Amino acid sequence: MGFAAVAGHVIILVAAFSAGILLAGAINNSLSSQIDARNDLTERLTDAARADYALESEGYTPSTDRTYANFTNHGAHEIHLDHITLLIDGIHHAHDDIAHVEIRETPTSNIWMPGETLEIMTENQGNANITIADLYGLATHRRA
Amino acid sequence: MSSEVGSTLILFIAAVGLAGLVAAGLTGAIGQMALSVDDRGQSLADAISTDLAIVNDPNNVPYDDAQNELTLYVKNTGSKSLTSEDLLILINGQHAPFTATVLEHDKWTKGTVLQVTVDVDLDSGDHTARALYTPNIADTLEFRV
Repeated sequence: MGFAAVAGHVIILVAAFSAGILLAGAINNSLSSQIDARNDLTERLTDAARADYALESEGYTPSTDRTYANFTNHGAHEIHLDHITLLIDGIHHAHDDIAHVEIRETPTSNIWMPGETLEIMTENQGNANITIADLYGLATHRRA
Repeated sequence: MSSEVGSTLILFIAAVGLAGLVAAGLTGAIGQMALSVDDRGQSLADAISTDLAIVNDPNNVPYDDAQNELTLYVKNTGSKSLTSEDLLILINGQHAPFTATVLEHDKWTKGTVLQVTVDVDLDSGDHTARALYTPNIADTLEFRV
């Protein structure tokens, strides 16, 4: 009887130990994916808070039917041009579609650094409304 | 003597069998709990990594009143890829059917824009569009047509 009880206890203990390891692994995975996600969220929120850009100058020339809008990056971090959404009169356009999109200080670069100016010009669109939205959905407009 | 050995053997088998049942129940229950903890953690992580924004110009939201088609641009502002199948569009609080196309890319990844064409009949005036991504990530745009 004593041996049977010991054997029974050993089986239960081994099972409890294995189950404990299983649970600890799952908790570890769960916490680690949440920590990664929270770190990522913090980074996104920080970047969004540090993003700041504003319309610096704008205008429309009827003789050439050109509208321009120049935006300056007043924020503390760079903005990749691939992440800039461009709307002209509310309609989405690719950067090389009907607009001229270029960083004034570094025309060949695709990265809009703090302090630099993003120049956008449209042709044959009339006195156009120009909207840009960044990676975080923050938008700035040039109103006709 | 042999009957004593027999009864001890029966008791031993019974004890080990019972312990085996308890152990199986224990590992099964905790295994389910572990899966649930893992799933819950992953869905929380997914929810934290998911974000979107309607980036339309509120003064110039494209609306074709002949076709009753409203165009919204919904940008993936989170970290993970999204799918239009998990997106709901509410116009003035009412669910509205839509078709969707990812612009300039194959997938709706971070920083890319989903063009959403909503079938809805709108009168002139102020309206509200809400993009809701499963389960509770949302952005709202107030606009005028």
